[in-house]
Amino acid sequence: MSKKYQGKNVVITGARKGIGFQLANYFLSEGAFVIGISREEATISDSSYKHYKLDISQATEVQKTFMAIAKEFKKIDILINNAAVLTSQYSLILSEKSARDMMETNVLGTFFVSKECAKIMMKNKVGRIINLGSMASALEPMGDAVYAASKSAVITLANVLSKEFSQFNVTCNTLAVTAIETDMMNSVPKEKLDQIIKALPVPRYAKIEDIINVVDFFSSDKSDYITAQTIYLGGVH
Amino acid sequence: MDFQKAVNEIIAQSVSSFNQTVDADQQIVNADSTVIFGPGSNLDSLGFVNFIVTIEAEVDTTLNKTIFIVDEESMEQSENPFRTIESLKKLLVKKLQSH
Repeated sequence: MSKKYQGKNVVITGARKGIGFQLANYFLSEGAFVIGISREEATISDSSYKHYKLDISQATEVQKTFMAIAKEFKKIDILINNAAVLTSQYSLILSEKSARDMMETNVLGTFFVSKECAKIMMKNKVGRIINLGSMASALEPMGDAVYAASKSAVITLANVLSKEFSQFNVTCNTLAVTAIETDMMNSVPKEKLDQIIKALPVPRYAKIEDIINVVDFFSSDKSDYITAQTIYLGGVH
Repeated sequence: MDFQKAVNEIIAQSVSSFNQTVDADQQIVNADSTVIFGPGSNLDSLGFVNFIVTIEAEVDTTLNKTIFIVDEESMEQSENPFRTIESLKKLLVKKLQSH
């Protein structure tokens, strides 16, 4: 029996660790060829995996990388915009550098990668772009002003890009995740997270299976009529 | 390097590639006088964007150079460099010379 993503090429940003790493391994296990992107060296070794070391906030570097990807792979079926940085800090003491890093990676990086990836997808007249958003954009927790704003922007990006790319059968959606135990969450006080999770309609941390479930839905060939949608996990809205 | 000759070939190839991806009424002719932006153009805004993207890819394939055709510099020119194939060619030559 063929695997779910046999013959599909999947690009995942932030593939070195956390959700990106787990999604990369999931797609590999389902037969996809995974093209991972991160600022550092690969943490995955697999004959169906190729890693590109790239700072996605640098537009020219992103363009060059995707030109190289286009030459080697000819097509990209699915893009997961997962790369993000988070500094959780009260606004009055949040540094300029941290604020800029979040906007440049989370918003501009997502935009640059989507733009270059769409150039490849449009040639094949098919594609799925999935942005990873956050519960922060709906819950607007104290200490996450810039992060929450950046994740709201990611939703808006997907919604606008969905209009521009629909003529090429490229869909753009957002999966807004609740907290899942990753390295990124180390920068948020555990008690603060526990408090937020406790107040959710489904009061538990997300599991990778919850994320895979929605990623599968957005990635499905049957989801070509699903675009500009945001799905929040755990009952967040 | 003769950038004018290279640009002529890049545009010819890009027009050919572009025309293969659109309906007959949106195709363009590879002639200097062909209007590609604004009144009189066969291209709508997304068609124009697609054409530009096709050229960028062709530049990369042919010359191994990565360029952004639409940037602050090109937008600030007194005469619109995107109006016709001819004006676009001039812009491309200039960009490649300074790359």
